[in-house]
Amino acid sequence: MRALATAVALRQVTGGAAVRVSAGILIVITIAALLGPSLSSHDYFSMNLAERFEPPTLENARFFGTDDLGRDLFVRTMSGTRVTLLVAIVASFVSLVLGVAYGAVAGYAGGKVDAFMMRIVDALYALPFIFLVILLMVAFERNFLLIFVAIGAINWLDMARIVRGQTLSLKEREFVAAARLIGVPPVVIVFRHIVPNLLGVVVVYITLTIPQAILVESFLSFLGLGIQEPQTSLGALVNGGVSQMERAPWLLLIPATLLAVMLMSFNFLGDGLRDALDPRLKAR
Amino acid sequence: MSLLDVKGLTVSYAAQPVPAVERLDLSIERGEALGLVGESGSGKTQTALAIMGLLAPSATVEGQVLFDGFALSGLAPKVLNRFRARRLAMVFQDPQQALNPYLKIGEQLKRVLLEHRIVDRGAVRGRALELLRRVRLPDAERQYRSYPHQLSGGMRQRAMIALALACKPELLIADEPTTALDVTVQAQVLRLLKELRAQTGIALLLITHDLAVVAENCERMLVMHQGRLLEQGPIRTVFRNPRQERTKDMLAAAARLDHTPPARLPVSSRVVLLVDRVSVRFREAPRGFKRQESRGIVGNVSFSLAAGETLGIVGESGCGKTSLARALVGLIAPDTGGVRLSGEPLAARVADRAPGERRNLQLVFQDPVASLSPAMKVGSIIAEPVALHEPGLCLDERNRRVASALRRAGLDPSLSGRFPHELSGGQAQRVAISRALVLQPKVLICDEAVAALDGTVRRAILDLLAAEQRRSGLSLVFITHDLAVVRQISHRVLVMYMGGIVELADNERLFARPRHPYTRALLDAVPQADPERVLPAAPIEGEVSTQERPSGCPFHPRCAYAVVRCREEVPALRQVDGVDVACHRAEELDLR
Repeated sequence: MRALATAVALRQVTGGAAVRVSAGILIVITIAALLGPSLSSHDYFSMNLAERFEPPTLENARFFGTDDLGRDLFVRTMSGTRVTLLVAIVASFVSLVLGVAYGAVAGYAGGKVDAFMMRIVDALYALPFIFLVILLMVAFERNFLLIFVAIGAINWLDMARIVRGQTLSLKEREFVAAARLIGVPPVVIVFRHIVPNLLGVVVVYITLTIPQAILVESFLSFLGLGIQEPQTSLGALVNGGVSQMERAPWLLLIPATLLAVMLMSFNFLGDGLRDALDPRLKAR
Repeated sequence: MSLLDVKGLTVSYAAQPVPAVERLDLSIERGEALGLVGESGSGKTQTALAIMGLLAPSATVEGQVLFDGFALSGLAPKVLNRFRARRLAMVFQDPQQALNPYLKIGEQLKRVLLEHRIVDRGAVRGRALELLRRVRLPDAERQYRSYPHQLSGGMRQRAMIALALACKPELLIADEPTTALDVTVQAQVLRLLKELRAQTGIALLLITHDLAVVAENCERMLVMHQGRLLEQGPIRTVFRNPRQERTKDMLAAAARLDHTPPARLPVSSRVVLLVDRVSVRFREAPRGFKRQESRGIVGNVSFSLAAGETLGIVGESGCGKTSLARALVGLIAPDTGGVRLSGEPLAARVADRAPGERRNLQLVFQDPVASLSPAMKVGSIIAEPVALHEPGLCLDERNRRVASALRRAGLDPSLSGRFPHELSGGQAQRVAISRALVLQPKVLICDEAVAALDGTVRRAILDLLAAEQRRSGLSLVFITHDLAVVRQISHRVLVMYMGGIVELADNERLFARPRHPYTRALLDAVPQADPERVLPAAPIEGEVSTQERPSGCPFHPRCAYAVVRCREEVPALRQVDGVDVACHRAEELDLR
């Protein structure tokens, strides 16, 4: 159902060229990230000290040149993008599902249930996040999944608060009263009458969450807690590029530009999606 | 030369295919009161804003506005500002939004007086107070030091009028000045405008959707429809011989208490709904160290409703009628008392009621758009109750039910693919009524269900409800502040004041001979679309919302007939000549 609605919404995203261009860019980047590494004759981990710091050239398919260890930057950038997109999407999805459900239920239930549920959120807020991640990393083996969990686990708190606030005002509206009078069960009221009316706000917030998740991931990688070499992500590549900035500026410029373009595209797409999901705006 | 001359005024917006106002001609003489009437969206307000030069920059204005021979269009903003401030003034519908919430009333008046150098600093306070007294603001000294939110709606509108009069303008434009006010307060404000005109000779452009307000307050009127001038002329001429069909329809739909209502169906003797001493109290949220207080909203209301009967509940805002409706359907739990449906006691909260009980008692809300979920299509809004109460139905059958419910409400079934915001107000209310009626309830409670609608649309909705009543023997509780509506449709009328019943009587009896002074005051205050009517001597003073609950009879501070006993003893509801009335002096008073 929701997938269908989203598809419909996507079709209705016609809010100007910016949205369409952004969507196009994201699709191209996603396809390149998925297929790019396997099309190239290089791989992301082989070092070749004879070919260090080669600038971008068409020769030998070194489109983005090589890094300080002679690894192919094109392949590394594409596989890094893949990781970055995955982190961003999974983290936002966790935040979406958990945050919206938790916030809407707390807001609609109200009273003591609401107070109890939100105090749990407050308690989680109080945990020092970096410390938590370090603990997780130490306690368990370093892996991908853990990063998703860690990033999702902080983002859903904000989402839950926002959704709860919106729910508090929505539940006083007359259409909710009308649903109660008909006898619609509370759970159905939350998910059929309240959540769809929150989507506009949620989508806007998700467009903030995705870049945030990307940035948090790159920060963790920088601390050595995120993606581990030879695997990489855009954040890790940018951080690596900073140290070689004077000698080989493309190591910084290429991944940084790609990251910036992606973040901007997500923002534009978010604006468009919000307009498409809000039936009142659609009419205009 | 006329005071105001508008020639060929056209207001258009790039985003809209049709101009908001098209080639409008209008003139006002000195001291004249001109009524500008039309339904919502007819371009009345746009005309007023164009005259004042207050339109949004996106509007394109053509034509000429001449004030006392000066062309207002094309003046430099600074010059226009000065000119406008001293000679024209405007009063808006919502004084809450027109007054600056951060400044005391006196301060706002002082600023206007000083800015336009009406008086010098030394005299400004005296002048401001004089203005406040002039608009009959009770306790002017105190209101001078009050912020707008500390005033009641009627007092705010008076303050707004004082502001408008500060520079002694020659023309006052009042855009729906009383639409947001209660009837008794509306009568007071209209009376005030009349007195001010008599004293100062100011001309008035009164913009309203309410033909009755125009009938009683203007000499000439102008009817607009879809941006165009429909017809104009002296009030009596237009009311007596309207030339356009559209005007005739509007006049036919206009509120009149003296018209005999259409015959209503006989009522069966079977009681469907029995309301037994229902009281509602609201507890205020505890704030800091302040003790939690509770306020009585509805007190000991009892009545019964027979099958096929329509009961009108009238009262001004804050009298507890909406809380009563919500308590009946179980959206809020009454503190004491209970409700019986077909003899069976109902649980206090709707969540605890049986499905069959829920479907038999439905509510239609005031704001049709707010009562429909913006994210759901019309079809699924109406299908939801069907799916819930008859889960066995196949999809085809359910769709058939939805289509027939829409058709019965006078809507095309093709509307089921629309979202609520794509509907007009009238259509949205029809959808809300379909949703309630698709379950075939025994009792339908309408809480101000037509208050937000234009006259002709309102009439159509009332006809729809009457047809449904004829078809299915539905009982209606019709809650409204509009006595004319009640006069048209109800068998019996219940009048509420400060949470209690003051009078409960047959329609005919109540309007022919009210027993309670408050009922009389309400009847006097309702404006009527009849220019020949002799206006009652003086409207009732005071407002409900400004008062603490008084001792004794809650109405005694405003009552012209109050005696000592009224101040000391709460009158019980008792029968006098077959009418239930709560007044100590019901027998001796003749309020015909």
